[in-house]
Amino acid sequence: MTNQTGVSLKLERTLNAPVDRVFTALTSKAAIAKWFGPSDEMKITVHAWDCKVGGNYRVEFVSPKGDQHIAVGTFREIVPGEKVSYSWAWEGQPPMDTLVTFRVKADGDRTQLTMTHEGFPDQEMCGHHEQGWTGSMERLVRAIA
Amino acid sequence: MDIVFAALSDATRRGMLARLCQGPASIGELGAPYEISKPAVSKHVRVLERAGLLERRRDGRIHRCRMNPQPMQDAGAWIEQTQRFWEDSLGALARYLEDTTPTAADSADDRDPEQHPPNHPTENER
Repeated sequence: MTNQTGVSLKLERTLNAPVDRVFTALTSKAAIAKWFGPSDEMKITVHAWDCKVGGNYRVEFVSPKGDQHIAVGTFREIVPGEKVSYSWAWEGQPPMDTLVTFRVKADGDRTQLTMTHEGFPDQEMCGHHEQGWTGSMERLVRAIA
Repeated sequence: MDIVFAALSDATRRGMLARLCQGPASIGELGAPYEISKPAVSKHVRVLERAGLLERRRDGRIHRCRMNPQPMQDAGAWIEQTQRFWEDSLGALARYLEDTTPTAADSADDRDPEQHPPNHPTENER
């Protein structure tokens, strides 16, 4: 979690592969099915993955217990070798138009990957946003848990 | 969920919730630390109420407010669930890239005309 305005989640990783391989893994339908999802036990079905700006995706996750979650969204920006972003929502849950962005940067033979999941891309909410709300909320959640 | 996040996006409302974490309070008590008008305090309280974060009870002429933690726990759970989803996925991505490295690297070397390993036969030796 970061304290940047409107960013609810940011993860950084160094991956042992060159940028173009990482970018392919982030964008190709075949690769997505291999790594998307919370665990190996999760059954993943990529129903749609139309990786072009305006294209939609729909990915289903089924846990060993049979719990089903479906992620849906639309590709917003694709810059080969640099970044890919798409909207993200859980199907069947209240509409929450969050934005996932992956940025890749060469680091020798390796790749620096930065992933952000922004909760509130819509203008009005961003206007009301203030720094550190996530941290504050976490503290509150902990305080009342 | 949107309505909960929207309610939590304001510092004054977060402050009011933090106060309610310590126990019930009147609307006057909730607004006391802030230099804002009574209607503004009422508006914040209504936003929290609509999000289900605050419950109001009339006690004679005084409105007693207390916190309902459920929506916040739901919001926290959503964020935690999403964070776990991505952390696990990125771990799987790293493994996927490691697992596919040798073959991909080999085939890349085979196709790469610039590669001349030291013990590779050169044209002159043929």
